Amino acid sequence: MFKPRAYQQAAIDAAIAELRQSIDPILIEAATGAGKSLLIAYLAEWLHTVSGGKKVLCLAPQRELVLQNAAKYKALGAPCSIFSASAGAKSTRHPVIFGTPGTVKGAISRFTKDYCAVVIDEAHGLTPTILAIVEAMRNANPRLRIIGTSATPFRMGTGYIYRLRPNGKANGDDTCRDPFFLKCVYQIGARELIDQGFLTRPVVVSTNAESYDTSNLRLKPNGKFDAHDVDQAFVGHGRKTAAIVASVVAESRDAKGVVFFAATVQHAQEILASLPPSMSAIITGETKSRDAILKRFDRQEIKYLVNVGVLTTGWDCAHVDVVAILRKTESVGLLQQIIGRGLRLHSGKTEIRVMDFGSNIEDHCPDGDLFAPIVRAKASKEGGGVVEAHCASCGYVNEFTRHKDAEGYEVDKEGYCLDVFGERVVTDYGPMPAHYGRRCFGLVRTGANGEHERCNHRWTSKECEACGSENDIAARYCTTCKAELIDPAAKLQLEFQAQKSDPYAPQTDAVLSMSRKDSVSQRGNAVVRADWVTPYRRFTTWHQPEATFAKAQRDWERFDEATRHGQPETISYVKEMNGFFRVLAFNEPADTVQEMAA
Amino acid sequence: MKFPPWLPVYGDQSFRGKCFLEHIEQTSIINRIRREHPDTWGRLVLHPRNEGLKQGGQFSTVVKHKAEGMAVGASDVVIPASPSFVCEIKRTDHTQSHWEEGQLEYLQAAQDAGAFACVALGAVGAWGAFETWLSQGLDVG
Repeated sequence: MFKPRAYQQAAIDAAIAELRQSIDPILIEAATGAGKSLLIAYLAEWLHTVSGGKKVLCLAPQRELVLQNAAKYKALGAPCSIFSASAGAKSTRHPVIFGTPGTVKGAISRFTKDYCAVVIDEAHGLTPTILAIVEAMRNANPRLRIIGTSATPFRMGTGYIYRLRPNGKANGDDTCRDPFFLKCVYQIGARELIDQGFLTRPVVVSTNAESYDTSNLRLKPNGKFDAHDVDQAFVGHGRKTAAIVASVVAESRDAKGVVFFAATVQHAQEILASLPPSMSAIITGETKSRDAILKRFDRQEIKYLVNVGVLTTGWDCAHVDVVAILRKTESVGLLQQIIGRGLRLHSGKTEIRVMDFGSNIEDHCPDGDLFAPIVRAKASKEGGGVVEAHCASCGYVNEFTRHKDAEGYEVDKEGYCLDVFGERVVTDYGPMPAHYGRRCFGLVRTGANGEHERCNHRWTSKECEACGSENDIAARYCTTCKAELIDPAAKLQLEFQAQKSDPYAPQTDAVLSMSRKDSVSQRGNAVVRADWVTPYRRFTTWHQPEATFAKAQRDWERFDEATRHGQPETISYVKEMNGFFRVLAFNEPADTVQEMAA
Repeated sequence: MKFPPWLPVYGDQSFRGKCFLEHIEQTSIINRIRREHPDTWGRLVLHPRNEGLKQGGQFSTVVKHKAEGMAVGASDVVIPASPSFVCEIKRTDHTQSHWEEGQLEYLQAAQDAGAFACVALGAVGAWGAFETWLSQGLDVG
């Protein structure tokens, strides 16, 4: 039976305190090697007990993690089930079930009855599959408790995955966007664990070997590097790769386990080619004998393990003492996970050597501190600095990005611009905020289940004429009464403009000017070209005075009659798919907004 | 900056040091007039937009705006009344400001036409000018 360490007990206590009060999703941030499996085990056991025997589902992204978490739970002395196709079991017999998301989602109907909680390991990797599972379980039990654990609770582009920090301060929109978890109840970082002697200290080692040139790697819109760029940067540099591998081998003479992180499969094979064959192995997503290789590495039968995106998370092997990063990662979280592979304690291991040949540490940890990466959400607006804005409603102190137009203004306690007389600058929409914040981030506990609700105080808002409630300035519909917030006349005007700007929609315009010119077609037939100018566009129509077929004859007669003695008042026309404009009629009433409303 | 003898200056000409930017002073005086006289001078007070610094592609826009009535050198705060209030605002430390093209000519023309024309150093100076203008008595029929 494991006894939790002091920080583990503190994390469990913090989670239990929050779970007793609220049904909002909570998160525990614990560094790699902090013993998240044990936290999950204790929390699952507690939830099962206090819920009066209801079941608990524990999700983990990989088979290895599922088995590891289940083993830790069993070590507490209680039985559990495993529901993971890759782990070879699909059982829900025991009250605590450890599973992989894909398998669980495939049989979601088995997880909707009598479940009180879901625990999500590696919660930074929330996928639509996990969200669908949570949704289904929540529909069955609206009081479902959701607990996440992660060593790196942030995602590229959207920043932190939780809103409230343990100290009660909220992450602003510049560091987190639409987070799933409401509150991080406890944080324990790698640096603290190292200081307390629970993790091995990492040391960044520089060698004389030349690094890869990753300066040309470009991020695609999906946040990944372009595969072609990756190939160019890493693959086909046999001599450079060999030199790098040689420097790692030289640096690892006294090491017990060396893990290489490669960019692509081909690159991994290049690396493997430079390593001693009897002491090395490779693992990729396609490797069938992954288990056997990992066991051999565990037993230290092989010293060098090359992998491509497989061993980045959740894999534990305490004797690893050299991590060689021969790839580029766009994700600061992934970099920390990679380094985390070697942090666990092992007898005789005093430090873990990190060798980075892809300038990852340089990019993500510019001040050289591996545990203080730069985390940011995609910026939405310009501006600089931070403005503190006390909420007049709930008292929460928000921190918003200063508005570029507010530079130089004095700012009052609530975050509004003050003029030189110390009074608020007033605009048509009320006092002028000095920041981009629209709504308070404070959370007010409401409801019988202790749910949190975001404070409704707004700095800029639009009043609903129907019910008087305040709405976001960009809202189209009132959040309270669902009434339309856009002025109907303005909306009609917009729709009218949209229709007028579409030449493929039949329309009637006033004619501002018209000129007709006799011409000859490419086939030598007589044609008349008419150039029209209306308030909405210029276009040309072609007419055949000597047409031999009825449709063209009717068109000519109509055109000639309307233009013989000057220009018509209006023209009705449409642009056809062949690109030519066709006249529909002349002197019909021109389109108006009022007509559209009718 | 130098002030011509015919132009009244409101505010502390001896002040030197850190002070608000001109647009903040401008916003402040407009804000105060609107706040304290919402239905009268606050309703009338206006700030003529000037052309600012335009680059090559915007030349035609400037020409168009001038043709439509934009006046070069128009003062910052104008209240049409009898007499009209015409005030050019400069920074509280006037050594940090300078005269733009046409500003002095506009003030001279306004004064010649009977307006209360002045230059004010900061919003505080402008408020002093506004109060002086009010105290001189207006012909409101």
